[in-house]
Amino acid sequence: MTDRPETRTFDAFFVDEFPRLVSMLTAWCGDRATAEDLAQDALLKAQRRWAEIVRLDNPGTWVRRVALNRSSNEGRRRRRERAAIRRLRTAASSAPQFSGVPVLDTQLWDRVRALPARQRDAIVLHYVDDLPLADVAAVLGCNVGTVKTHLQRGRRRLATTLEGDQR
Amino acid sequence: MSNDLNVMVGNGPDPIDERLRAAGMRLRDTAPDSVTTHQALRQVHETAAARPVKPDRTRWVPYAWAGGLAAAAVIGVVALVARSQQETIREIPADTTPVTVPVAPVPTDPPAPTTVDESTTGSTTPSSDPVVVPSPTDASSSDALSVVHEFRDDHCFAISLDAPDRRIGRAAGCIPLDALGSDRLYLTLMEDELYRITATEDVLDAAGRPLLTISSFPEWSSASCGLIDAFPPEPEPGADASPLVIELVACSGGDRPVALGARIPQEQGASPAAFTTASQWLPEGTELSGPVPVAGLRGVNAYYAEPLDNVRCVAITQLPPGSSPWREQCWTTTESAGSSAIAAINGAIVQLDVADESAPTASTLDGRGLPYSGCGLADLDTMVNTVYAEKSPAPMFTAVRCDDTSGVLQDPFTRLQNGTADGGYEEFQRAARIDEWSYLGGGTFYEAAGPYDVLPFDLWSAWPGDTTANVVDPSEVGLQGGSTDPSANAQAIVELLERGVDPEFPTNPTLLATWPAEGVPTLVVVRQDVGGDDSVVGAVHYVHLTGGPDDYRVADWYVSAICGRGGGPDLCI
Repeated sequence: MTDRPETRTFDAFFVDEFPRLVSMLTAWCGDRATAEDLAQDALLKAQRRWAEIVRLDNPGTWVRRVALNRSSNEGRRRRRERAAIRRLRTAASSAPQFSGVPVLDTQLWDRVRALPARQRDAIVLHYVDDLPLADVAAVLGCNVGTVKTHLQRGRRRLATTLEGDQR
Repeated sequence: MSNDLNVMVGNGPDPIDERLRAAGMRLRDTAPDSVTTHQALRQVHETAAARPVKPDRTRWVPYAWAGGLAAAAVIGVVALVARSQQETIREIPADTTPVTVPVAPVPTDPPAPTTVDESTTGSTTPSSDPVVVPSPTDASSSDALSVVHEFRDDHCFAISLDAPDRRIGRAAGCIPLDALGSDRLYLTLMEDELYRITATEDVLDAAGRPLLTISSFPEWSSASCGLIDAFPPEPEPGADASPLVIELVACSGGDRPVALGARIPQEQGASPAAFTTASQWLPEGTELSGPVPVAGLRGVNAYYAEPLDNVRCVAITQLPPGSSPWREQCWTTTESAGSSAIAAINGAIVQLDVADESAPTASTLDGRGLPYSGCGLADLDTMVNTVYAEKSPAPMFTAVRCDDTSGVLQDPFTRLQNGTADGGYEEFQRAARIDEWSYLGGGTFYEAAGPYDVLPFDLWSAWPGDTTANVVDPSEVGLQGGSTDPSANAQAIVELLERGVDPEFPTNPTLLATWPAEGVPTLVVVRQDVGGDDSVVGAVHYVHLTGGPDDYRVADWYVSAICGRGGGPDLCI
């Protein structure tokens, strides 16, 4: 996620960002198809406002914010769907099966998704999207120290929950 | 991967860090290839070309934060079970063109029979593959949609709606298909258009035209699965408060869900007749009640509707102009002895209790619940809290939500998770209740550790269950006298923290917030750097003041423990 000159075309931006966004959002939501939709949505937003976006210091930060916003909404929707099912007293096992995540890591990303929002976002942005801390901080709108704290907490909590899973 | 995290535990590398790095790399390795990426790029261009920004969407620009919610692409399930096929047909506008495809798994037998909406002239085509079937008799055939089945199990489905020249979006629903009879109606928001989808056991129908173009209703900033998500937009500079709030209320009760839509003029004394949007989902002849004042909450009225048996909905709204932020959601069913909602209204946390056949009551909870961390301490007005509690049959809590000040809408910082009928909890991580902050960990309900019922959640959530805060003895605090200057006491506290500090290692005490935001503060929040490890942010001080205006003094002073790596409390924010 490097600085983009104003001459950067949207197409080039898209080709760079789409695969990365999809990877990140797949970890975020656990579903590849949903991730692709969310990434497309975010980039469509960027396309429509490209004249503004391209002037930003880092258009990638903007599009990630949009993507995470949309992911949050998607996450809320999923939770509400699950709640609706419970209210109707049906089996809780009806949640859609996630796809697109390497089987080896399914449990790990499940646990990441269960982290508090900031910790989850920091981990996904840093470890999946491969963003340096400064860029993670820019996306999350906080300082680098706070990102470190979120990452540290997230890892610690992951260690606890994953250890519990193995018992 | 940047390597600016020097992650160590004890004397070795952090295994979680290594595992995350490896897993992240594997995910990146599965990223869409060039072909997929360019296909997606082409779709984006096609969508953009087919759907130019509409002029009236410019009205959304000042409300970008709300617009972000609005275009969230998918509502999912909002809606209802029609009592009969006739009712369903009646609800479908005459100019809609259904396109029908089977959604069941590809059968070995011939495809399921076509369903035909009798109110339209649209054609239908059975197929096990995604199809696009524009009606030859439909003048708006370019709007015809195809439903592309992507996923379905016993309870949930996920579909894409495609138009001949563009992909519109994706919808999903999880109302059990086998529990609701033969007809269901789903509403899904795709981009800024609200579509109606009907579902039977093996067929999903999508209306060929949107019910509404949301951009025609710029106040309708968002709607989400099963719940209201309606925000009054901020008025444009110089303009009066927005005239309309449109909302959807989904009520689930008995064995059938129902949706109630409402369009509410945001002005004092609005008539129930303003619920025009609701009428298309209500049985014919249904009338909404007149406004019922909410006891304990001036200016807030409730409106009732009983659209289906065993279901009772109530919309509670605050109507005085300029009362933003505004939020409500509440439902009750005959299964429940009553339900309650907690909403943020005018910056206060209010609990609304609704019991059958009686006016709702409201009580204001401790206002100090507002400034918990992560919620934009300096911008409380933007924070929206909603907590929904369903008392029966199982305790169900949803989240407190904080919209942060950077404009990045985040998931809730505090998550109240769903309870199970046997009293257990599932999926919880942290839980708290506004009125008596408590902490759920490992299924155990811990009582609050300190005498204060509210602590910043970041602090509280990390607090060991068997310890208490490091409390500064007020008698040791050299804060002398008081002041009616709203900032004087807060500044005095900041200055106190600077005393005796080695100039070589400044701690940079920073005033984060005071509460109330205006007037003489009773809670002062200050962050202080403590140096050392670069991952250490510092300590946070929460100082409660009492007395005044001439006799202000420190009542209690909470200090978060200092962060450290490799063990010990981790309480920095």
